[in-house]
Amino acid sequence: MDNYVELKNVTFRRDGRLIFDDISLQIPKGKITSILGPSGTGKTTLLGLITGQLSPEFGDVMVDGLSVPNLSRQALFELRKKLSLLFQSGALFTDMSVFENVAFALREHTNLPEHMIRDLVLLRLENVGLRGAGQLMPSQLSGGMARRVALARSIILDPELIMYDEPFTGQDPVSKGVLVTLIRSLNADLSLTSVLVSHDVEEALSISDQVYVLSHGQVIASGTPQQLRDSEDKELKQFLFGLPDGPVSFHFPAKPLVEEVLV
Amino acid sequence: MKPSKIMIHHYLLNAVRRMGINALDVCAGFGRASWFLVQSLTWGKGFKAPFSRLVFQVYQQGVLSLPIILVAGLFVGMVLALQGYHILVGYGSQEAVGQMVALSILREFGPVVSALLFAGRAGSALTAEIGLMKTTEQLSAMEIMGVDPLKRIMAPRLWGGIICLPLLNLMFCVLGIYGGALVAVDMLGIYEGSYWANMQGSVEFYDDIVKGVIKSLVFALVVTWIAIFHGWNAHPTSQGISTATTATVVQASLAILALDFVLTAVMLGGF
Repeated sequence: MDNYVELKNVTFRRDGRLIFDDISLQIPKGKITSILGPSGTGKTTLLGLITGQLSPEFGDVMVDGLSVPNLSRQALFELRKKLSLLFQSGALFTDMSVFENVAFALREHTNLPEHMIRDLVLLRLENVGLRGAGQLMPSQLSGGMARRVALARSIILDPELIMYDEPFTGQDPVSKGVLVTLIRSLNADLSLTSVLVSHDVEEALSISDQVYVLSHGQVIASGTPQQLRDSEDKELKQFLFGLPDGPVSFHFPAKPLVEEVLV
Repeated sequence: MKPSKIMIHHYLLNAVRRMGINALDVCAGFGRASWFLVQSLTWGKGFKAPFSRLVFQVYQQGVLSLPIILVAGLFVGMVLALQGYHILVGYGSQEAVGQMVALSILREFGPVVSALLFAGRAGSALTAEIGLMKTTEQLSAMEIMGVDPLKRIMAPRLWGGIICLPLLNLMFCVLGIYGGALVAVDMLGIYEGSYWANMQGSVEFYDDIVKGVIKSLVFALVVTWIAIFHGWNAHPTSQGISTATTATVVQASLAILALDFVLTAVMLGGF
């Protein structure tokens, strides 16, 4: 299978804390790959390694055949024109309208005439159902609308790889359903490679071709959604089905309650 | 218990180690800031879009700083004239008050006070703005879209500051000299002809005006550099932005005062 992204034996530390311990994974071209795992396992950090905002201590990160940690600053910015990331917060430019946010990359990277920029922006806004909201400012949008504007902005240059960082967090059921449909249809219509980082298990499994589950700096499981559902691994089952008891403790390590409170 | 020789030895070694780590941190920080400055001094391709961003920064940093600069200049000039008159009148040289006001403002008060006010008004605003952009991931979003924030965000702000402060300094000086005239001529009754003629006879274009503008240019580069670097380097939290903004004002103010001494000494040939 042809891979768009490959992590090879990556070790990464932040402030001395080991986030990834010699992990390897492959993201195939044209598919939706989900990276799942409990909060704090470094899922967003993984996206930082793919985009070159972070560098691994050991190992290599290959994107479209290029070794990201070894790219020059200029080459890295060139590569990023083919990538796109939907931030958890949306990260819209607060001093620009919705229209200008979506038009931003077009204005920066192309010399298209204004009427063509207008048409392209309106088409992308139509994709996310917000063609009528072009003149609104980001402060006037709800959380779900902001996420959809950010999605329109992230696909304006027809990227080859799109990464979604916790796209379903804080969304109401309607927005969640709309986002699931959008991610699926964009991947099919634009022939994208998609990486979905999430801890919303059901939504992620419903649209993924391949899933990796991270925990304690390691890949604890990988495969198709069905393979993961059928797995007997206790840690995986606890995470997938949200069980309170299992190998992953709910409590942060501490002294026994009796000792701490009553003595 | 008396500390043993080994304990003292360990304590001293630790102290030396800490000093070494701190020194390395300072060097690394200075290296990062220098790299940041070099990257921010140039901007990307094209002329039209960067020029419009520069004009916007001149408005943000320069035009919006005008009220505080003009009012401060007026009052500094008025106070200088008042103090100068009361000192000079003891020697019967009160006619020289115009010369004193002009030289003090052009050589020192103009460049230094306008830079201090610029650091407080525009510098802190730059740090807060960039820090907030970092906190809300706008700078990261730009990077991911293949747009270098150092060229897109930092460069116009840096050049905006370099253009604005020398102009603000000149306006400060004009208002300061006018404020001095208001007090000396209109309030204290000094003959208007001597106020302006003494000034005209003693102020040298290169030694007083150009050297003041050169000081102002250096202050502009340093203040804007400190401001945008602290914004870029801020911890992405509300307290991080607050700390970065305070650091900008404190470090920029101290840098202005220290550099003023160095530049004055060099210009007067003291070294």
